[in-house]
Amino acid sequence: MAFAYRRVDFLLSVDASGEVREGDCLLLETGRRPAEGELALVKREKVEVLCRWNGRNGDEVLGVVIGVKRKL
Amino acid sequence: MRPRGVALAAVQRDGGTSVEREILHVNTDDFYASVLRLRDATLRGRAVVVVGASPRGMVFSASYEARRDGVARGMTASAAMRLASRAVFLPPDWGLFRRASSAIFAILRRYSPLVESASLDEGYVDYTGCSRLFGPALDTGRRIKDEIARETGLAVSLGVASNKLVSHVASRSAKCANLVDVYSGYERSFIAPVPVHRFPLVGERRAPALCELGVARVGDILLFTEDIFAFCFGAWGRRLYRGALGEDTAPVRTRPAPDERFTVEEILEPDRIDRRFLEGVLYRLTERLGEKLRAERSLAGTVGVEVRYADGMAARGTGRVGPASADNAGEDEPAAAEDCTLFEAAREVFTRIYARRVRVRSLVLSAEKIMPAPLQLELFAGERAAAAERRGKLYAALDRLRTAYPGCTAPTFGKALAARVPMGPRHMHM
Repeated sequence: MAFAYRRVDFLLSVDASGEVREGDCLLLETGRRPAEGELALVKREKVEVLCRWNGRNGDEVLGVVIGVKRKL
Repeated sequence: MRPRGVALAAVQRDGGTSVEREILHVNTDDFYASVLRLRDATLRGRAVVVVGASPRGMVFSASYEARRDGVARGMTASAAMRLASRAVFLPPDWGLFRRASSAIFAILRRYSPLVESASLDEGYVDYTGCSRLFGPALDTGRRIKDEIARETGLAVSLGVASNKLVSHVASRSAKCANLVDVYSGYERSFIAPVPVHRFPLVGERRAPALCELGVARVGDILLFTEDIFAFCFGAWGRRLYRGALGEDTAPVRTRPAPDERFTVEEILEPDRIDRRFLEGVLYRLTERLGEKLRAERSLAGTVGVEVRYADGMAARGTGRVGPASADNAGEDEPAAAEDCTLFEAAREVFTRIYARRVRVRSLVLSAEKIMPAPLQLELFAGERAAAAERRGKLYAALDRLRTAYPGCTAPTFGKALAARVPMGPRHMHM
């Protein structure tokens, strides 16, 4: 299992519809394909998007979101 | 609500009635040094080491600045002074630490009635179902942090997960002043990269045994089967395997914090390993504890014994005072303030927890489940009541004598003399 962190910017926080906020740090599990419905960070036409995975063709999976780190 | 893994989401879509557990682990950053800094502002930014009162005392806690110089808990004070010569070495102020800890736990109890104190500086909050009242755990974590900072001046890190074990790992990875929320269903993925010596179920002492098996990280444990781990390590191995899967069913238990009025401690000079001597010390502690209880007209329902070893490890256990028997079946929980009864319970606990062949640095005895002594006399006082009255008069007389002649000249029972007389060679093999 491999992990990566990704800081949430304004655009990603809009994608997540309130599940994460700008400034949060996503804990990503990389190296596997997400299951249907899992929250994943994907690259869609050169743009990184946070979405519930639905197996859409053409998306490059950057990681499955397993948690979030928030500065208090 | 927190986002969750697809498996749990599917269960809830199916109409499952089970409520998702939400456990917060709250860990105070650099607790002991931070509390001492609140008392003395000149310590801010300086390395602080909390050591025992004697010159050969061990390091109880070191601030982050001192840790960077290599100072670690359990080290002798002299070794710490060599490593961090510019650090400030201070004795522990237990009264201050307990007051700060009580203030933190009082804040946590505003958000859930189920709060477990794991130590003075960390605890668990069972937040299950509370999000309906206070909002998501992430937002509550923020409020908890703000309230603790405002009311006590201390900083905390928080971990949120579906069980105690994973929330503990999460709060460690959240240091300092952060919150880590592990989504339900991903516990196993989250703890897999954690080094085994930093996993709460393992620790520094048991990690070498796992390293011999080639297990360096928690995820490596799952390369074996549960039966192999149970065969190698017994019940602990099975529990560890379940832990590596991210499973932990332990409930959050509310335990009242030990009342500092009824806690007594003795630091041994030098460290001792002979059991007879240690039991003598335990009896001496029992006498001091019993005197405090009788002075407050209180009884103890249980006693807690803590053995602190010279290498920094500690073992703790509790036992009931006067176990329930057929004689008192149906009556209230047994409780006592008499030295001999307290000692029997304390010795039983001590025998159970003193299992390492390592020298002991200090013994701590505490009375728990405190209740007021009954004032009502028994109507049909039998032999038992008469004997209790005689013992009560004896202890009252002893208390008066000990107050009048404190120290070694005070009268005591023979059991306590084992800790006063130097041990002969025949006892040293223990």
